[in-house]
Amino acid sequence: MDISREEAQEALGAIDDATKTSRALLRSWIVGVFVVGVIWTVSFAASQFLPETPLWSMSESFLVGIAFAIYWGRRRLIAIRVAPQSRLALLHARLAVFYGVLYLFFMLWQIVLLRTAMESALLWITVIMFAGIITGVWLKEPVLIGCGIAVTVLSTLGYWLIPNYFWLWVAVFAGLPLIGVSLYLWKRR
Amino acid sequence: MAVLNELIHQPARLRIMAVLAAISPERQATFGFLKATCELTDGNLGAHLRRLEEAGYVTIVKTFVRQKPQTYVAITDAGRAAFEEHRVALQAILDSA
Repeated sequence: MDISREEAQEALGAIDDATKTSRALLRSWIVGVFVVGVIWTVSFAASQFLPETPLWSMSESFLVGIAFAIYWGRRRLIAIRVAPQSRLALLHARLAVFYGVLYLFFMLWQIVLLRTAMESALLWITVIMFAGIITGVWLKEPVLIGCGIAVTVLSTLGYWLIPNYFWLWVAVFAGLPLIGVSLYLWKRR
Repeated sequence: MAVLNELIHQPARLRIMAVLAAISPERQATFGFLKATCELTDGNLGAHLRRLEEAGYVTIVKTFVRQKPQTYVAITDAGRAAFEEHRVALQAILDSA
């Protein structure tokens, strides 16, 4: 078949338009990372200057994460599903179990071991980063692995070396990297 | 040299194949999602999907979700290859002018 240059251009434009919706849906999880990054940045920074309320950032980011996961999951399921019995379905199931067990252990550690808001915050940050590293390994996303390691190291250094400015430190070195990673992942896809 | 595919080039089928090719091989799109994204009626979409299925470019899975019938569509390896060849052929027309 023969077509004109204009017809070819129109067809390629139609392909681009049609794929935009699919791609936006598949990468919509990145919005959750961005939102948590914003919450951490704002609330940790506020905690530096409002020390009487240091723990609300974790509660809020957890609630936002749960709410977003439910919203995103429902929106995805009515549009796209993972083929049953596929390798990807097995991987998603493993991730779900992993996140659930990790959160239960986090709650246990929180109740049994911790005494201060800073200890709780550092544990929360490192647990989330641990989950990010494992997710990056399973999904073969090096940027998640790198971000997870960097934020863990920097947050721990801030906890030990500059406790008086710990909240501001993690606002910059835990919150902002999440925002940066989410923007990078969004633009990349 | 990439060759244009007359079956895929039809505007509605081109949009359908583009949407399906954008999702990974292990994912399936719902009939409703394809209908909304490609702006087609039920009958129109069904007819185009049957043509694509006959050509071996898509697979159609009909099942039940919470007692409601649900149809899922996925692109096959042959369909993905045919769509990519068609896209390359379109680009070649632009590049050669």
